Amino acid sequence: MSAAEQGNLGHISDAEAATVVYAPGLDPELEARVLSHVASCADCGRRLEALRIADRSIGELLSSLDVPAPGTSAAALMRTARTPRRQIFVTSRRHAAAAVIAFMVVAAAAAAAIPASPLHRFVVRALSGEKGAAAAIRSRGSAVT
Amino acid sequence: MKIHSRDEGAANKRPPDFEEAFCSLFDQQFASLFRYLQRLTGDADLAEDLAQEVFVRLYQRGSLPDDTRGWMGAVANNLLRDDKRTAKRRLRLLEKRRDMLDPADPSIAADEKVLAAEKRTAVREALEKLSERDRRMLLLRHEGYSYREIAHALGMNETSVGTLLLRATTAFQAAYGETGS
Repeated sequence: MSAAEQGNLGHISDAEAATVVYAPGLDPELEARVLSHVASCADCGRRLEALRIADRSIGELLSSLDVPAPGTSAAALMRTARTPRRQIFVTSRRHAAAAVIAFMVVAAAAAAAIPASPLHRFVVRALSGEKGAAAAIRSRGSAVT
Repeated sequence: MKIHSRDEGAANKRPPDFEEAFCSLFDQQFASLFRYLQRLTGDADLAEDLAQEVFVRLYQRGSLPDDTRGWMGAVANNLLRDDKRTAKRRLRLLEKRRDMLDPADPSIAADEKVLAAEKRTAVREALEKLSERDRRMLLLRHEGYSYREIAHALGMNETSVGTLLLRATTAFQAAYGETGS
């Protein structure tokens, strides 16, 4: 018994019907077998036709959603693609970090220069503390000798 | 969006006829990819951004993949997933020139416009009722993608595409029957 005769014994499966409707030409042998069966089976014929109609109908419905495609050109996209975006991004991040650090240094120096600021007092205290400690060491040294 | 160093390396070794092939592919496929993404998202600006990004990545890849449409579909779906996850929109790549349908077009009668708008809403709602996979399958199928390309684009087994497509068709019909009739 040939494959076509065997196929004629049962109704066509979902996968077979789908392949005939959605992927014509993908499997010519299967297609021939299905069409041969459909010629002698009204149920499968109706089912296949309903599937074709549904497919066309959905295609038409989906096309109602369409808007015109944008007027982008391949040349413009190639220019965009040639731009090393990651490098630009990294460079700009480095510049931003350097700017933040520079701003903080300037702000700290300015705060230290204002006599009434806590930072200025802290610096003065730290410096006078160092001088005081050095003087104490010197005076201790002279007392020993 | 990141450019992989592998792609940068590949871009330096582009075959001499690559740009010609790229332009030809762009002419053949850009509108189709845009249409797929626009139908999928309902957002023409987002669809345009994503379609452009897919082609930028293809160019930076430096060679055409074996299954070019499947590859583009997969990249587009990944980009869309990333876009949804981060809820960010990348800046426009290029100046756009879109000749949108004029809603005040006097050649279209008011009642026709209302009917068309109702139909669009019903189709959109029917699509929304489908699972993400069914929606994508159906839209790719109606862009003429083959079983192999659909399988590649959606990361599924090629042998199950037909049956799943049939189910997606039935599900869409049922959903449209609920909203469209």
